[in-house]
Amino acid sequence: MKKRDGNRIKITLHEGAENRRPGDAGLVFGDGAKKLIRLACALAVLAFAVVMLRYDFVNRPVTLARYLSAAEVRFAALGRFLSGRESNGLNYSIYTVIIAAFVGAALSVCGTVSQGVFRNPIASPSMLGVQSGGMVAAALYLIIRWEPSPASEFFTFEEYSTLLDGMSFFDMYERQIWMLVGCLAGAGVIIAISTRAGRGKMSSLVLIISGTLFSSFANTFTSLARFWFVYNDPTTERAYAMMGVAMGSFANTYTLRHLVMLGIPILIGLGALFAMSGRLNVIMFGEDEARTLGLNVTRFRTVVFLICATLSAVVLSFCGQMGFVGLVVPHFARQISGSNFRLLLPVSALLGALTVVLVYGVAACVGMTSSLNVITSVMGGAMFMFIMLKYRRRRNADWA
Amino acid sequence: MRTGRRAAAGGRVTVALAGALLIAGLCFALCVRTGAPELISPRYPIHNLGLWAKLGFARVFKLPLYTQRQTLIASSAYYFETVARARNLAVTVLCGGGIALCGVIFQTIFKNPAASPTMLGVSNGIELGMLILVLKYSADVFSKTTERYLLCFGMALAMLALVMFLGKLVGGNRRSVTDMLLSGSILSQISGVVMMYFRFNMAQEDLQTLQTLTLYGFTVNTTYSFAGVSLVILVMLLFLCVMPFILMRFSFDAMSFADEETALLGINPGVVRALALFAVTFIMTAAILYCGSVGILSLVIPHACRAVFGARFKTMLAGSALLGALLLVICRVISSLIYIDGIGFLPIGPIVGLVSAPLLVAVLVKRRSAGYET
Repeated sequence: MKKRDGNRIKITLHEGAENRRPGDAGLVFGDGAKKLIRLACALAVLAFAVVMLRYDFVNRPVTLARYLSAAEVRFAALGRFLSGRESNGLNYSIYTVIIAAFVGAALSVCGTVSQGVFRNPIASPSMLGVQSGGMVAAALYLIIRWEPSPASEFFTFEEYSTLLDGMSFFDMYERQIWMLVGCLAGAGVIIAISTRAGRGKMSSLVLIISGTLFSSFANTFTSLARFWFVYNDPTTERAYAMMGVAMGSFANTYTLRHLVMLGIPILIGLGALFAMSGRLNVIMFGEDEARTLGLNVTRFRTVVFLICATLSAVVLSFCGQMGFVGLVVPHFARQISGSNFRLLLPVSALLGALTVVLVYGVAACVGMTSSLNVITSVMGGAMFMFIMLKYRRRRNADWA
Repeated sequence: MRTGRRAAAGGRVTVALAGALLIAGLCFALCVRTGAPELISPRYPIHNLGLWAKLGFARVFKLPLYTQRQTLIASSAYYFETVARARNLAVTVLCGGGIALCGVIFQTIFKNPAASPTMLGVSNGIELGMLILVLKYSADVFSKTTERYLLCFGMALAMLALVMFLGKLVGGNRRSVTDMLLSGSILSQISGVVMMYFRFNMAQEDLQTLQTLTLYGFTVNTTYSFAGVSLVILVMLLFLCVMPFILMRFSFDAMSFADEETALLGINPGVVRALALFAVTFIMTAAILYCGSVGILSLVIPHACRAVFGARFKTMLAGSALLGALLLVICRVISSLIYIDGIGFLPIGPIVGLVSAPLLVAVLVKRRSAGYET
């Protein structure tokens, strides 16, 4: 019962509360529910539009009539998909967009939660070395286990798909599994270092410093590995595989199977974080206050960090890096919902899903679906500057 | 008064000690780099230490070297290799000193321990310049001396100006260095992704050129040796850039006060700052062009110097140049010991990263005791 006590505390005393409108920090039922429904509707409309209307305008110039006929074909395919028949490739598009929504939700919630737990506006799983661990694992996989892709020996799609059917689960997703293990190992190393350095406690500053240190070591290794690939391979396959991980794309995740493989861990992780929202509210008061309220801060922080690390590891190993989503979306979510985590977490999940689906749609329209990280980083960086401009000038926000 | 004089004398002694240390390091490096490179190498494996030592002797004393079967495996034709190594060493010393100086100057004019050319976008600008060079000239980059200086310098200056402008915009009218650092880190992430995008869409030859350029700079360790003239030009340019710091050392000492007080002392802080920014950017450009991505040195060395030499600008200038040169020479020695098949000698940039990251963390952890206020 002691743990449940944290959930009953009504948050009224957070900094900057006087600047908000009265309904903002309310409970989920009431004002917050309207916002959630609006966001969900926007997400559904956007996802539908991306599936139905996406078209590579840059690489395939098009007249209006042809564009409309393509859309018409897609609507027919949607009908077939809904009635459970062969849908002429549209199903892949639908699954990709759903996966994009899941990925966005996971990244953004991870960002929100780590910003809250570490009480630092620029904390995110990528800053804490999870990504570097994954990149190191990817490099190791390419050095140790890589074989030239069989795709060059097979010419037809049928031959290739029979080959894929013949592969076992482990063969098929070996790189992803390696990266998953690498991300978790990176997170483990960082937790171990910061616990040792903080003499049993895991303070945010030490955590961020050791994350930075670990990533600089890892970057050294990956840059050397990349250099070696570029010089030693007759084909550039390995070097480009290495860079492809850093660019972020949904090219490897487009079937129902992928959706299940990505969706179930993400849903479990998000559910766990949503269940902890009361304790997250408590830790926002500060470490000492949270401890006084009966929360085991160190253990809670470790658990939350591990969940976040797992979520971002899943995303990284299947879809590659997507920078700034976990950094920027939480700030906008906070503007929409206020700082009560019970409302903030669902809002940021929906907003993150909205963002990534939007980015995917834009990328599909300009023919950059293989390098989503460019779009998210450039736009996200600009938005982050904008946020800083707005917040740091006022100096009375929750953050910074 | 007396304590001040004693402190000055102490500073002189430590600087002399650092100089002696640098000279010892240089001698060691010369021995290792001419006599015994490739300790870890597939060509002369580490288990065959005898052969490695023999080869070293043959290199130093220009002996012909025979195995038991009387096959000539090494002759006295090592002259060119030795000269190239010596030139690389000279460039390393110059660049190490220059980079450390840049760190000290930035810390002085921004009055912030974390302000360094790498954190404020100079390195990213230079890398972007290299990217543009490779996109434009492909493999001809190595022969375009003027273009590479101008383009990299221009990009570095532009990036620095952008970072400072954004920092000022964010911080309002105050000159807030924290804001500059934040915007610098964001811009560096963005520029990293942009670099990665262009790499992703590059032909393999261009990719190789860009990798070589960013990791090794122009001191590729194996066979390529730059002309002696370019070394002379480098020395002259560095001299030109460093002279203002030495001549204006009192102005830089005065820069540690607030701007208004500096102005009351009859020194225009804006002029000093602009001059320093230009010179620092140029030194960084030259150093990174020659040695690859070693900019992190400018963040690490000044902290160590402040702990060792105290806060006087003159002492710190000399001391940091010596320490920076020493650290970079050590990294160069380490890099010349490891030979990887297919790459050649290890590039120096990653080694600098590996060596300086723990130093940086040690400094950050002991921040309070380092003798300055944050």
